[in-house]
Amino acid sequence: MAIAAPNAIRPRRRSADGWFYVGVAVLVVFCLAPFYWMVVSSLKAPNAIFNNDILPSSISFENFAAVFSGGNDFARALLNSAIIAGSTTIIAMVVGVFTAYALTRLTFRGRNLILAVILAASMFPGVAILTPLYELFARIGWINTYQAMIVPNISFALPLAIWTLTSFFREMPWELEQAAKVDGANRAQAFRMIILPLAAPGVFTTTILVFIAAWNEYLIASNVSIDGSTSPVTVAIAKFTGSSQFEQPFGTQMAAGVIATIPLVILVLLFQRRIVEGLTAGGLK
Amino acid sequence: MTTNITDTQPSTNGSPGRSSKPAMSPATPARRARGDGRFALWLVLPTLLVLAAVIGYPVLRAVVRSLYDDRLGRDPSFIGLDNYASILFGGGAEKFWAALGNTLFFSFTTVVFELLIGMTLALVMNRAFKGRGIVRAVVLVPWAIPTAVAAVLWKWTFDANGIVNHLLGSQILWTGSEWPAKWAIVFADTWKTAPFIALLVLAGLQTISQEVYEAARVDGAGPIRRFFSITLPLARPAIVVAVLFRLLDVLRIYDLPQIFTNGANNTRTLSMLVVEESIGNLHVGVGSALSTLTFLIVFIIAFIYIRLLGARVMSSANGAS
Amino acid sequence: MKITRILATGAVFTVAAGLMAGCSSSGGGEGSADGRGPITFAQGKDTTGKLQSLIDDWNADHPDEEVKFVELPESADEQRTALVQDFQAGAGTYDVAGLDVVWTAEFAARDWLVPLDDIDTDGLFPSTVASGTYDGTLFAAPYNTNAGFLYYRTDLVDQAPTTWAELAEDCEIAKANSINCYAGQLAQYEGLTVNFSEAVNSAGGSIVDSTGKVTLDTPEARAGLEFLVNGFADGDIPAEAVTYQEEEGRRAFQSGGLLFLRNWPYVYGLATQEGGDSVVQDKIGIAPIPGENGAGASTLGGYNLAIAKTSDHQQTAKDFITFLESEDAQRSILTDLGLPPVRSSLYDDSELQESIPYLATLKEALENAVARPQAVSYNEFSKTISEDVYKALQGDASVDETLSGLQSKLQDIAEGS
Repeated sequence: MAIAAPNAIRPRRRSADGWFYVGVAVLVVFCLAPFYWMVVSSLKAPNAIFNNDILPSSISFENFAAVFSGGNDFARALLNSAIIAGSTTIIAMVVGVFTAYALTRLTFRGRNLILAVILAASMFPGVAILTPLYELFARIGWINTYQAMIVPNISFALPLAIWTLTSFFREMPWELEQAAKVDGANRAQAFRMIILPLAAPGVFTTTILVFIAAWNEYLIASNVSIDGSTSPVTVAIAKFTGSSQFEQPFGTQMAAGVIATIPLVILVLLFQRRIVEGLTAGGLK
Repeated sequence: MTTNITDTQPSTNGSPGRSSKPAMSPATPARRARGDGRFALWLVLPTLLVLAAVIGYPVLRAVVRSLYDDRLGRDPSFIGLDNYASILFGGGAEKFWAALGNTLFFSFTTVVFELLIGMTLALVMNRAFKGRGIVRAVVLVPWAIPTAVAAVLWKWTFDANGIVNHLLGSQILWTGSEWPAKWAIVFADTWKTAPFIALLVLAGLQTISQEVYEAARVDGAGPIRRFFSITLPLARPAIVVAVLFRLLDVLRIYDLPQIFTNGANNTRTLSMLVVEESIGNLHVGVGSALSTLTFLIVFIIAFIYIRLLGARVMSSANGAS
Repeated sequence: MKITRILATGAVFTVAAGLMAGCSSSGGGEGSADGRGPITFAQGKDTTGKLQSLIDDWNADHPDEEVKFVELPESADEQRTALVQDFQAGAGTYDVAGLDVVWTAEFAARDWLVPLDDIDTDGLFPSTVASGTYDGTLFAAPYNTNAGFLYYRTDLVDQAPTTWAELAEDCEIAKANSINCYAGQLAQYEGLTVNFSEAVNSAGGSIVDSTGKVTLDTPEARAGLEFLVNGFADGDIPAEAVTYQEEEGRRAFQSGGLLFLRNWPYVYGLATQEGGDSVVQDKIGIAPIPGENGAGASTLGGYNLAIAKTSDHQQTAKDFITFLESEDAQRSILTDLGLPPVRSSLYDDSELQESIPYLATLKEALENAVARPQAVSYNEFSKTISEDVYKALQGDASVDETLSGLQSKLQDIAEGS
């Protein structure tokens, strides 16, 4: 086995670092440039939305004020979004984790069929589901309720959650679970204390993706939350209007988009360490 | 039977060492398998119930409805597969095949670009450097913006007198001609969803321990060799799932082209056609047939994809299928 | 294996449920024609917030028959989707709904609306009443209306052109000033149907005649389409106008890039606003749109009010509609909500004429306005028109091809529904 001299490696790394940061900068600009344009547009006065100045000549918070103005009830919409997305994520992740565990660790016939069926649930255009669901919800009195949005969101999130978790669980070192059982832990303890921490990157990533998907759902929400009391942010934004039905409230829409994105970014900032570092395994004693 | 845990080496950062060989498969006694079945049922049942109620029921109704001539006006009449015949070969064929072509174009181009950009983002976020946390949050911004708001943003950005033409000094009619519109849509969709792939691939990269890289480096493998022999194979499960779900989503793409061009200049997709017939023209029989056909197309493509690339996806951790 | 058996049984039940549900007819019970009580009123979001005070006035006078105002999304398409979903399901969520003028036939033919013949429509513009009538019966009572204007630059042109020939002549002035000449709403959407319909009607033709037969294979229709197509070919209409909806055109006009613009009245207030980004703020004139040989016929816009068949309080709903059509309410709709009222007497009010400079022009436009075809499959109708005309505007199809194609396609749609 050849052992390369450590010194030979380091200098090469250093010059590569410079290019690395250039690359990072390019990627950051790529991700942020349109968002920057969104922010700039929201800071321009409502009647100046047409100009193309990259730096706004005068900053106005009118659009942001308009977002929270009386008729829009945007604060309520943010709360509704949090409730709906939060409930969806918690339930979908719990159910998803259990299902993924069953699909990876337990042998039973029909497992592949179940995986296929779960995947197939993600293959239908949303509009195909809309009308029958609306009729069903109208009949059982679920119009204008949170569950009318949470339940469909869960069914949209489950395939993604289950398939992602399944693929992560498959790669886990299950020998450790065996070892833990030999040491006296039961199946649930072994799972909770050994496997789950190791799968943390996958679990947290899936949690964030599910939350964002639920936060941004529009089709079902717009049709079942009619009187606005339970409308999430996406529906509230669709109701923004200018001074007439033809005027596009571009500035207000951009301001609302900025406001709606911020909680998600904060969420990611809070969770991002968990995504990459996982938790140091308590599994190895 | 016990596994020798001394075969796996503890690593310095706490996560267990991983060999690139597949995990060993302990034999499972037959007695255990039967007990597994009932336990598994209880774990899997909630998922299946929710999916059956929310998706299964509407889909079945749609399939039944697709066999009728139903325009919400008079009583529907049963016509068997006539709706399908009309869509595939008859009056609706031109629109259908054009929409299918557009959908496939959008799907394959965006997925390829997203994969390239997403993987690059993931590799970057995987390395330790100052400001890494902020970069990770920044990378997620495109994915986090509500879809409708992003679509409106792109529509104004690509307006004939918008910022893109302003910066390029051109007067391209992005929303008014076929290929500029198509590429603009591809760009906008790639921008929005590359973070999705990046995040999933990043999680996959986390399961690869540093020692594997160390060992390879010590063996003299260069960065490219390490990428293709270690990174790609070990992150493969995450990549496969990420691309699969992106594929499923983009084959049903609706919001972006709808707001961008309203389907003009041959940018209509399958989902837009479904909405046009079901909700626009109120031909719910034809609309249901179209959504069933869309499902079949998505199913076939997903099937081919899994067959070609993800064959291991369906097998379990201990090697049994 | 046990689990597969359980799953199979579940699948069978789901299939059975699906079949049973699929076979049951949609539509809830019929409402009550004499019922009185609280009702729900749905329309697109009120832009000013003043509609609620109008409703509060009603609620103060009718404490047992309160109106709850529900706002639908801003886009007309999404409003229609919400109403269609609800009417289709027979869910009865809405009692009174604001319908775009072109939805009347669609909704009435599907038996979703209550006939409104006992509502008094005296004093309302006849064209608005016609837009709410299907098969001889009034199903949607006029609420507010709209017609298009020709906006023009007063600093460049003394008098607005009244014919297309004059418009083409004035385009020389535009060229001399290096700006574009004319634009309307020419992207592929409902606005194109509006502009096409206007062009055909302004040439003395029509899309359908009074019997519902499609009449596009006429020289008048040809003249109308040629006005638009040749406009592009000659450069009088800039190439980018093919991406214009209402706002893009307003932007082009406000920034000084257009000599003439066809658009709705809403542009006036925004373009003349001081302190905004309009560079032509004090140089804007309005006129009725020009036609082939004289004044043109604008397309009728606006909203009507209809009552859902499932409503339990139809009598209250009818009274509420009458309230909204009363002179006081209509006046408030004009001054507070900024929407053109349907009561013609208000347009002669001198006070109002002073505060709203375009009122007289608007009245003239409304009196000559022609509605879009009343078709049970209006959506399909309009989509076919906008798609085919769009291709002609881009030069991908000739005028003759387009018109003969539309003639047969639209006739098929009209007969098939």
